[in-house]
Amino acid sequence: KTVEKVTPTLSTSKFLDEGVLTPEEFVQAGDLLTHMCPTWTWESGDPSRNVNFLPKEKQFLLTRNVPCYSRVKSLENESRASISDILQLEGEDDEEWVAPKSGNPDGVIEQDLQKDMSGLKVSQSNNTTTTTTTKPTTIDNTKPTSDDDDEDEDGDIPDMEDFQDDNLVEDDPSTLKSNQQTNNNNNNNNNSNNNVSLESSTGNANSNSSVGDDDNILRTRTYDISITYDKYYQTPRVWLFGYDENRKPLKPEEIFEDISEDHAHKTVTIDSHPHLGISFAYIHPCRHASVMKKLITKQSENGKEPRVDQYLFLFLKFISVVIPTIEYDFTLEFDT
Amino acid sequence: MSNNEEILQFKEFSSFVNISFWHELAQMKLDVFKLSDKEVPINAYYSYSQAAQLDPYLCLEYNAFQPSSLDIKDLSLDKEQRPLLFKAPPKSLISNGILYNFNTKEDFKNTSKAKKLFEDLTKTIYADILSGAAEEDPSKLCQFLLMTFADIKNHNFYYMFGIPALSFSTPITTVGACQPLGSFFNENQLQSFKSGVQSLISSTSGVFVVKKSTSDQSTVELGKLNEWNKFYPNVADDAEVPIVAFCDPCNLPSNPGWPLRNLLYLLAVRHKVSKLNVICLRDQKGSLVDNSIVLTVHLPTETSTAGVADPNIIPKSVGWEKDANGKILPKSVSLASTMDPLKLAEQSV
Repeated sequence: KTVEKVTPTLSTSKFLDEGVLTPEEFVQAGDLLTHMCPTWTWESGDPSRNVNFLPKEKQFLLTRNVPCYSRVKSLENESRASISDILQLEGEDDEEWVAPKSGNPDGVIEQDLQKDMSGLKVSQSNNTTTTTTTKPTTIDNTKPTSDDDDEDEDGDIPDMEDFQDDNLVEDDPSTLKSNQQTNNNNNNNNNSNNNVSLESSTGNANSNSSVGDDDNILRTRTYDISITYDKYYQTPRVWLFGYDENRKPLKPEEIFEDISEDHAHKTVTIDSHPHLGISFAYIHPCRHASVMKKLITKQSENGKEPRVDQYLFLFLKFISVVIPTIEYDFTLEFDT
Repeated sequence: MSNNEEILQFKEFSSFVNISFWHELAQMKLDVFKLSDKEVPINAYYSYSQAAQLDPYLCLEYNAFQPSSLDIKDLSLDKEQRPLLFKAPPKSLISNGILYNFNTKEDFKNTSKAKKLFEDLTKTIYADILSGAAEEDPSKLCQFLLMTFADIKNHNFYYMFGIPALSFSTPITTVGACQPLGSFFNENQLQSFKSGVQSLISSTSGVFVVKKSTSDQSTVELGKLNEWNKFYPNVADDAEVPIVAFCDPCNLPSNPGWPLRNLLYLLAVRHKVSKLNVICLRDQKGSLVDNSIVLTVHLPTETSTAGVADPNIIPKSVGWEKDANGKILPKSVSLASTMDPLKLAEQSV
């Protein structure tokens, strides 16, 4: 953080040479992303946390309620193959901007990609211990509460068991009954805190998404993904926040289930979000620039002019290697 | 109810409280509310373009406390100093709410108070319907109540949502099966409808009066809810079945979402509508009309013999959020994993 404060903001474009972005280019790329994929929006965040090198209304990018139907474990074996498939599929279409097939023999891309990734892995394990520290801004905020908060008795979790009351009963034929049956031997929750009992229910809280009996509604995890501009690394930084099938926030260890095994606990750590001040999991950006540089070089080798405003599309494609089951939108649907 | 008529069932909202809202609430409790448990206006949103198979959600985020419009005090400020306005994400609509943050668990659990607050909001909505205010601004039809108790010391939050829907004395029924929008309109009408709807959503709060043009078979006229009388001046004469469209957060094949309920109530009470076609607009996979459905509904008569609704008789209302067993119970969330300094320290790698 201190380093970030004294690092001058990048002012000249080094996009082609180093795969990094200036704040202006980040805004440009974000504008195109939000324009092409309306599920992404610019957010202003907490005004007191605004950074002055980005416009007030364009502090970070956010996409909400992105479904995540399965855990990485279930497709870990396929994940690499499918990623290279994506890249190769793109290559078959001449209009596309990643065209690995035309210039390279099959497989090279995959190898390259793996090399990139393994590079990520190794250097990451060296780096994380020194570069990432959880800086819980929220501590400062919550500390004074203990003094203020006088109505509370020694850490007892307040109990709602005695809540049930005849005052609030609804028997309405026009309300669609949720036909979910209770599943009392709820295996997922036995390690969580006692609150769960208050919440009764939690019908299908298994880690797999499942379909309710009659209503055909799929219960699945969802993620909010945000992208901030990292002034030190001069790249975007990706933050993840997950919710379980019952809209309860996922614990960090549960979030790790949705991160490919190569990256969980190595590339992904927890820190306080710069614009919200809440702890989120994020993908460490220390290798972003060099991977982006490789992808950009590949693009120009294939005779495509790399465009800085398309940076985030390329970037999100690469991020999908890390979070393969989170189905966010990064399709580029226009002619280049 | 004749044989081919079935009770129309509405899918309730589920609340989806973003963790950033609880952080914001904890801050507000310390800095602003302190020991006050007075009502606080907040804003939520719902999407009519949710990933298929997700429940309809009413979402609250960190910006819930931002005002949805500027008042006079704010307008007198310099532009730079005005508060940021609440903005719903794309393809979403705003829902105004009232927050009651209680100081004690006992207050929170006091259900007779909860019942009273729910009735109060019901009265507000009913009054807005009778006065015509809801016709000018249909977002008034979809208001909610949130009761919270923030146990800040232990990072636990307890909450209950109520989204009141006025109920008819007898249930609304559907006439025949619901149909896809594509078979309700012909190709030209569909095109005309499509192009009209997109540009109007934000200014209509997602509620439209719709009429197939009488002069030709290829256009559809669209208007705001307050233009009803212009579109259907003689609805009581039963000349033609009127059409309304609304942005539907629900994705079920034949059930509409919660916001439709109060809209139908309004149409019955204000305009004596008894039979109606309802277009449930669902924006899926980039298309606003492909997944939309049309319901034909029968509304019970809800007026006295004089033909006027009595403002003193408050209709029954339902809409407390329930758990999966259909019980009305508070929910709780523990944010120790993102707030508790000790836990945070453990997680840091």
